[in-house]
Amino acid sequence: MKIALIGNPNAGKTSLFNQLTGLNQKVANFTGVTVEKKTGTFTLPNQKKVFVTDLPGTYSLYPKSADEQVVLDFLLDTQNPEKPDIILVVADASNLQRNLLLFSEVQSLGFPIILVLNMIDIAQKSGWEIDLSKLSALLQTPIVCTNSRSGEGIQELKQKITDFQKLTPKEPNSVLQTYQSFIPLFQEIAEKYHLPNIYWSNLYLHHYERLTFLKDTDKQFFQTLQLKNNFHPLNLQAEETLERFREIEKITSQCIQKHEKPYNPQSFTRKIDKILLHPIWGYSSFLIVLLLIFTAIFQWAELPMNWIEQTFVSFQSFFKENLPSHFLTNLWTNGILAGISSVVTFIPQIALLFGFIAILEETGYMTRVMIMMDKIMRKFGLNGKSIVPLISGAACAIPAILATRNIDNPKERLITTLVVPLISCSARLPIYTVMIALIVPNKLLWGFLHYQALALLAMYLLGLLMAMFAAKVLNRFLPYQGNDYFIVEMPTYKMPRWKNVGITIFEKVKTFVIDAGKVIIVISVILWALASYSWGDNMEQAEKAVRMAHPTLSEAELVPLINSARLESSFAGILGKTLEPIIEPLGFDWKIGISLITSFAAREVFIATMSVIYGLGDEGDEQSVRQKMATEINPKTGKPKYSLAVGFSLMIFYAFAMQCMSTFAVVWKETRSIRYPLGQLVFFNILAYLASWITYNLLR
Amino acid sequence: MKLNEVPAGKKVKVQEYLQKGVFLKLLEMGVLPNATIEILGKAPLGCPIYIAVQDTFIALRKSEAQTLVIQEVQS
Repeated sequence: MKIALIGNPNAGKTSLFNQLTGLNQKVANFTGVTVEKKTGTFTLPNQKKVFVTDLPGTYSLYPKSADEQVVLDFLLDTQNPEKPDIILVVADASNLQRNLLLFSEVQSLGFPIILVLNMIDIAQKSGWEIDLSKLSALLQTPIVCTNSRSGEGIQELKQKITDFQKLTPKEPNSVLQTYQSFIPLFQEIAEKYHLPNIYWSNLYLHHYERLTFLKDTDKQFFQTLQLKNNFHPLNLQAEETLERFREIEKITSQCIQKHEKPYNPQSFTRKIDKILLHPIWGYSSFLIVLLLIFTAIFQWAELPMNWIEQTFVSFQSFFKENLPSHFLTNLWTNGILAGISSVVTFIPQIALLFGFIAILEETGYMTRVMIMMDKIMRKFGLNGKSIVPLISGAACAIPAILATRNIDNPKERLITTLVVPLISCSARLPIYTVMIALIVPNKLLWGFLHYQALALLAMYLLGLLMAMFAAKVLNRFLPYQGNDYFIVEMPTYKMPRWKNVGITIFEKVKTFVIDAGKVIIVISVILWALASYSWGDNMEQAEKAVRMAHPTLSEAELVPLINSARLESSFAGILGKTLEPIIEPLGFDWKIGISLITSFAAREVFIATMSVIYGLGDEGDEQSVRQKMATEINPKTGKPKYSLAVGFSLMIFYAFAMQCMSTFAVVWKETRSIRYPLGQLVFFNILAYLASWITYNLLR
Repeated sequence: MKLNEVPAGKKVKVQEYLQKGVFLKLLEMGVLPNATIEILGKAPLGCPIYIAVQDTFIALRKSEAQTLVIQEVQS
């Protein structure tokens, strides 16, 4: 059996979905759009399996935005393979009148419905008295009361779904006054498209332009019909909605009463909003929240991440010692295990970020963040909610890109996803610090400003400014999909439901590990092969040459030199040298060339690669690498190789270039199209190249 | 007077909707034609504007508030 959940935003639809399905959920996209589609399964008391789709929240069947549009496409497509057998209309029991509008529209479509009065506890506490049997009779529909926070009523709901088939399907309710004069027209449409009733015809005629399953010829047909019959969509929609509200009022006045009660979630919310939406205190408290999130993914996550890295390092050495020296051993330890390790190390950051985001969503604060930041972010084609991914991006782009899921508007979400990698993440920090220590004097400006700190700040600001600029450009060129209006309901504040927080964290981590993880492991293996193999016996020859040149050195002293020579002669080394003529205008040599290639595993690998090339071994620390770089002389000029120009050129390249396999994988999986990460790869790297070239030539 | 010109704390009724779309959106959110709207506050620069209608809290942009011609209600 297939059922669908539909309801107003903030009616508690998602937590009802969580209560029904638990962890048996899957997140995908609706076909053709980047609107998230949650599906799941659960078992009925009679052991039958039910397939549930959670539709985006909407106020009516007259959608204003792309995510609401999906609901219509889902319901009105007669060929939809997931066409629901029952629709659960989820309504907020404490705001029933308004919630019944959507119910009455869905009922007019003739779908079998169970009306779920959710948050019944809050409604009762705040003084609503609902005569359920009367309401059920007047609306001609079965009703279940639930409290999706505690899980109350869920068993009853499952029982109602089980018993449902025993009820006789009802005829669609009477024709609205509004459409009296259009009945013959509607009947004609219903016949032509084999529609169940004439309310479908109305919605087809009203929405034909945006219904994705209609062909162009159909659209032309509807267009002429609208003109010929004086069908004014907006006027009719207004009339219909008012008529429905009048009907609803008639019904609710008979069976709903409101008593004054001391418990009033609205007055509580008002008090909190006086502070949290205040022009000064509101923004300051938001800043503190952002700071907390940032500290969490930047600092708190470090401990478990280090621990995971250490564990994998000991795994790798364990396998190296206990398995025979063989190609497969190398593939397993240096290729696959290294890849798994880089996937797993992201988990603490993702879990922490989504813990915070889920809490912000659950309490109702996230909506306020979106509203408060709207004015600034809108200028760049971004959403108020984009601020969270953008700030998180300063720690790591991976959790940040996953966090864009919270943005409902598909275009704003896409732009955020595309620009987040430009924000300087924590993996760029080691490169910045090494280069700044190398080229920027350790002195004070005007006695109190540290030059090196200023340089670091400048690098971070540069990333942020470029991200905003890119957003502005993308906003120009991407097709318009925006909401027509920004009229947003602010839910009352609630305590977070910890079960929902847990499910969110689990789902995000799972999707990341399964979706992006695969890609990361594959790229990791390719990078390992590039750095460990070469044509014929090139690498063995290189090793032999080192041994010949230093006959007096001990084996321990030889190993770093051999590793350096082997890397130089590997595929990666050959590539680095091939790259040299291309990157020479930026002031880079083949050593940096090799590091650029290996950096694709993660930017911080730059330091490790430079360390191997300089013959310091894998474990060369930042300081010794820096010393080596400081003493290197440019053979052409006779001056230090790492001048101010080369140093800044390199930093700017790292600031803008897309050189992170995990980001590539995540953007691919999140946008569900390889075009976007490939586009980032091409455009960001051209941008990085040009910016570096300009920097190098200005400072030289 | 337009909705965006009303200071926080006042209560108003809408006399005229200059844009059908805004009217419809508000209507679906439960703002019936004769409803009393309370202005709760405004963000810096007057956008967005926070309002309360019965038990519903709504935020809307200045540009949308400008399409609502209102009359003050004495409370």
